[in-house]
Amino acid sequence: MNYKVVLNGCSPNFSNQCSSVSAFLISSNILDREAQTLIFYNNSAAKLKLTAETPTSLLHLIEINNYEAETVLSILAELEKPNPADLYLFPGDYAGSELAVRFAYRLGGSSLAAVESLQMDQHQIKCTKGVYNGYLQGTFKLSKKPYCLSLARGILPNRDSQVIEKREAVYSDRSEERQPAYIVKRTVEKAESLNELESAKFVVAGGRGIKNKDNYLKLQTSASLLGAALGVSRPVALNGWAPLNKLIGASGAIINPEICLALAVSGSPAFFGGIEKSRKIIAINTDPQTAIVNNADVAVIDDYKAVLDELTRLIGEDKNH
Amino acid sequence: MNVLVCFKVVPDLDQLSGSDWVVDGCSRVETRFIKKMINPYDESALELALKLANPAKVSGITTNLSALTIADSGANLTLKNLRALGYQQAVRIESDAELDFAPQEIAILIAAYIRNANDFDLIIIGQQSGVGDNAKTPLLTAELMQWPCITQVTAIENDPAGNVKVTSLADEGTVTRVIKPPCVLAVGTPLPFPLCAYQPLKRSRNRPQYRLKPSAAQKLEKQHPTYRILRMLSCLNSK
Repeated sequence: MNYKVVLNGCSPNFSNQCSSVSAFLISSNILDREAQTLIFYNNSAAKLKLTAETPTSLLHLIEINNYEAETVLSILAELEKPNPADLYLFPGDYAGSELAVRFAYRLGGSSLAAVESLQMDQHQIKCTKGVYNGYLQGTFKLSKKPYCLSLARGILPNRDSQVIEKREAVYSDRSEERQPAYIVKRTVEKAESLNELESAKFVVAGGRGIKNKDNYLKLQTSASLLGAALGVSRPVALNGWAPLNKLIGASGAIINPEICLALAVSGSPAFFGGIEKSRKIIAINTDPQTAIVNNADVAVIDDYKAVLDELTRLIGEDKNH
Repeated sequence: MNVLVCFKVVPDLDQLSGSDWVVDGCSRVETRFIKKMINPYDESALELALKLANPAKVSGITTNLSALTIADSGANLTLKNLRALGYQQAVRIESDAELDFAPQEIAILIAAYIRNANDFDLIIIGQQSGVGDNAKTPLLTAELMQWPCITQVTAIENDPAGNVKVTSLADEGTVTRVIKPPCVLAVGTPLPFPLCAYQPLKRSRNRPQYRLKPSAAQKLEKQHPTYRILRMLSCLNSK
């Protein structure tokens, strides 16, 4: 079964795309010397840099004007339709999740989003992914080639990463491609991102139990004193107590700090999926039955405010000495 | 402008305790006994459409809002509430089928409804919903309609020139596009302060309009599902 990888070279997270796909290929045991990576990019000055970390040795770099899904889809379908691969892998970011589904439809294949693992033989593939808000893991059998999979978010780089000594690249220039007709005007603003949370070594995460915006603001002060980045669960963001870019979980940041201090968080799978890669999870909760207490490395059964006040006091004392 | 928002009433899965997570022989979990809610992504879609319509009314632009669901009669109360909130049409395609893992069939029904109505400019749909976690319905609807699609939409405004200004999150930042409809917009991020939850409801005198069973033509259009679920395992206490 041959496969191709499709990456977005216009995105600042290109390196993460490469490492997550490489890790997935290793864990699925489907490394193939003949596999190819297709990279859409818009900065020709940086194209050599794009070839350094790719998950396959054969590369096809396609220069475009800017990343528009409609443009990329039509180029991809045009390139691949005459002789499609059996399997296409897309990273689990916004672009990859969209492309996998729409590209599969255009090629008459089957798609699955947020895939966690893959088993395949010559005739079929089986994939697992989270269902029921992440409470369950489903195993799916895909029935029509080409199989187009977008990966689950938060797949971490594999320590036993493959070494590719030589890469061979071909280049295509599609930068003259017109902007899709439905777009009258397009602007991109590099927004304040979730990257601060995703790269933090110490994260304090507040849940529904913090109860109001005032407590969120107090939590912000405490997190700052502790030297931690602050994130929140979905109910906190939905209630408007915290800005959306603080959201951790399925719709927000997938973090992997050394320590995650989960305060008044119930620990629903949608949230837990965002913190489970943390090296140590310390939960502070008044309810010993809640899911986060079962899943944490250390659980403190108490009011989070009392514990946090004491913690900040101790750290303050420590700093003064 | 005519706007259709597709939504789904779903079980609040956070209400299930550990022992309730029993998978039956058909790869299903019994959720009928727990509280239902509008899928949070769809709730954001419904909210965005209301936010689009209200200022438009002030500036003299007419925006007709329609809400569509594919469900059994359990969704009627939600449809009625949406009518009270300002949706001129509230439509239910009758179905008691298990469609949680059948996004292509859902998209086919939505596309058939859009084609039949033939006057929608924007279709707004939540990116995914909790049970199936398929994340496919808006994308497949766009493909079936051969319309463009913008994902991760966070804001929609009327543009003075008669176009629509759509703000969305992308991997490279926040993208703002002024577009000419038609277009499918997928909402993938929760919005703070959902209007549906806070706006006082007026009693709706008008009954929701219900559509009955999908027509034979729509059934014929159905394709074989491209994947099927084999089994499910619990992820609880996975760490």
